[in-house]
Amino acid sequence: MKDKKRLHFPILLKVILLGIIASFIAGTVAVVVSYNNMISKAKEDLNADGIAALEYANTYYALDSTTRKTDSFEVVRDKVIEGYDYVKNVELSNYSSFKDYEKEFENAYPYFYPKGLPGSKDYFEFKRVYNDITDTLFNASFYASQYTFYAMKDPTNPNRFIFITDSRMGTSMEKNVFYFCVGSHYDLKPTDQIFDIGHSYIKGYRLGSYETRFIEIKSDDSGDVETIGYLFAAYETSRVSSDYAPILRNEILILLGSGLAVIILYAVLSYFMFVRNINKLNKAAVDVSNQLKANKPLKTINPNIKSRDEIKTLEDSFILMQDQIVNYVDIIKKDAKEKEKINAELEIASKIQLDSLPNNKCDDYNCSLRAYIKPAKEVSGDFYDYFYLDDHRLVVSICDVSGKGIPASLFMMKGKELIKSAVESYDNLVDAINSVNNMLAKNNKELLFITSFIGVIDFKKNEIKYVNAGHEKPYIVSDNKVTKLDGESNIVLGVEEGYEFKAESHKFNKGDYLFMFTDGLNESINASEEEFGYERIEKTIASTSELPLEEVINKVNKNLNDFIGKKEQFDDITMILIRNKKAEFDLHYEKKDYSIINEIVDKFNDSFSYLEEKTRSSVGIIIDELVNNLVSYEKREDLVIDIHFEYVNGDLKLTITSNGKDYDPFKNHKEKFLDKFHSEIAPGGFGLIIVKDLTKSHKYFYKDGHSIIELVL
Amino acid sequence: MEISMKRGEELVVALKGRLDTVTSVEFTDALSKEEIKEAKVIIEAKDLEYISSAGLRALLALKKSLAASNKALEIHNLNPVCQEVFKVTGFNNILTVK
Repeated sequence: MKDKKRLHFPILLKVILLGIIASFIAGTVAVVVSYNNMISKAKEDLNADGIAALEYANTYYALDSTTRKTDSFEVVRDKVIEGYDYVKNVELSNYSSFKDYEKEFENAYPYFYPKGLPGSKDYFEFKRVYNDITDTLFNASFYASQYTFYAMKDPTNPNRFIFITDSRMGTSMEKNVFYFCVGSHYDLKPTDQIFDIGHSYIKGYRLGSYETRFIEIKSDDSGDVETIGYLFAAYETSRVSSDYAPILRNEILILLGSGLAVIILYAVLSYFMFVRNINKLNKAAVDVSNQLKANKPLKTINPNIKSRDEIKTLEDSFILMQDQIVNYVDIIKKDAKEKEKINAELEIASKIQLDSLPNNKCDDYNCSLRAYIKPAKEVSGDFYDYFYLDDHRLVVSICDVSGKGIPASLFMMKGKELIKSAVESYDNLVDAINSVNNMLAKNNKELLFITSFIGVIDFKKNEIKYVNAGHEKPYIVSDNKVTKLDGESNIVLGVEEGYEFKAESHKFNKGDYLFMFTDGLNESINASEEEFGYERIEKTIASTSELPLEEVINKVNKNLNDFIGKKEQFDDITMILIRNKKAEFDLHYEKKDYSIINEIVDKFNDSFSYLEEKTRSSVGIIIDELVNNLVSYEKREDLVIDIHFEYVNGDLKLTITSNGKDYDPFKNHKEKFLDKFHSEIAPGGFGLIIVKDLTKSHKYFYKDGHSIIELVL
Repeated sequence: MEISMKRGEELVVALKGRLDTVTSVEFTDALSKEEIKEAKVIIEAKDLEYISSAGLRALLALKKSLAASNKALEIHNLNPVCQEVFKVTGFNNILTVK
């Protein structure tokens, strides 16, 4: 595989990491536990040593007359520490001899050199011992220890001395041998043994800044082992710590080392036991995927996993899955071909369906109509239809078939044809709808139904008669006000045979328009599942009386789209708008010129472009004849001509008013013109024959100083 | 109103638009400027929207002037409105309409 992905956190790494974390935790716990044990043991030992030493010291101290006797072990120890600190910071090179230094120390710390001791001889002896010591072979070590705090002869045993001293005198203590000199009167022989009562030191456990200890020194001078002195010593434990840190460190290192070894072993085993097999499975999966990509026939790939664990089970499933993929690929290919065919057929069906709808715009002298349909699927369940029953009655229907897709669209085609033929053949709308309903309900095993609004608009009576079969109630927009056609709703079409539908009527004046729609519009929802609803529709179409119907549709669509946002349309949306046209306009001229004839005809043609060409040509001829007469024969120069076009009850009415003389052009024209035309072509004469021929009625009258010609085409 | 002429054995005058009070004057002017040698003048009225009495008079005048030099006038392809005008005025009897 070329584009092999780098694994950022492979299993092996996880295994190692987990091992490290586990050993770290275990190691830490072990170290902490053993260290704490070590420390508490050391403390116990030291305390026991110290208490025993103090008791012993007090026994032989015999300083009855001083407060010393009552000093606790801790007090003695603290004094020792204080002294030690002092000594420790002395720079010996500042003194010419140790004695100088000693003197200074003695003055500063008389505590350590008590006067008036009982048996002051002993004291001097001590002093001497001290001096001897400083001069003898242990100078170096003694300097290091700096001083002995107290020493005395054991009153019960003349051969025994008690010393309180700094234990640091023994640099060779590390070798478990404690060298010490007890004075000139007693030559310490190499055979003298020095015993450490507090064996804890030898064990090496210490904690705290300083510890005091008591050491018994024994001699075998007389042949028998005999205690010759005690050493009461303060010890700087930091030194011990540094002595023992390496031991502790080694322990930790051993722990870590063995931990690391275990982890490596763990990782290697993990690789061979798990990771290698997972990699095999992965490679097999990639191979299968490559085969699929290359569109080759699938060969079953066996990853060959030897282990008998869950990965082996996974391998079995993987092989099984490959077999199923082969099956599915076949099925999918077949399905895809099938689907392609269905889609092509659906597309044709959708086209046939849309083609079966009448034109989405219609303009005639009665009305202006605009329809809009937006199917949610290829084929829609919505439909509309409109057709004239005669020159002034328009049937309009808008319907929504239950369900979607092909079944709904088949039912819709049936419904559409039934409605049209029924409304055309029955005189009464209710009878027509009853018949449509009965025919749809018969054998309607699928229980499909149609919600339907069917209206007959009478442009002469200016009213709409309608049957609402469970459909959304349309609106009439009149003078910028919205009225719902709130008449009685009947049941939907196709469900109940024999149902008696009821019709309603409503005024539908010139200039009003009817807004019909399907529930796809009001039930469109936005991302928060809110419906567009009637209120928004009403708000949108209010105050649109002056808008062209296309713009009303655009406005509704814009508001709808703003509302639903990116939410997908789930139902067909259909709207039909029909305006009862105010078909009239006026022209006013104050010049006596033939050029106005063409202006009038052109303006008329622009405004009544929907009229048949024949009607428009007739109007052209009439204007030419009559205005020509006026311009030619009227004497006055300040001629004013007003032309008024108007559709009245389906007929075009034309009124020409002028301030000319009272003259009826229809009265005296030459009926017998043809007999004489060779000798006489009376101007304006036979033009009126044409005018009379092209009009249904003509009328002339003179009123308030105006001559008026009224014509109905 | 557009007037276009095609000369040959016959003079074919194609009219497009309206033949009314204003344009009939143009029509008469246009034809009077022509020296008509052809034996027959054909008015091609396929694109003639309508004709008013003024247009009829112009056609009649043309017919009269042609007749003086033994030339014929034919009017071809009148639309229904124009035919109606010809019929109601009797001009279909006076002029040769085809």
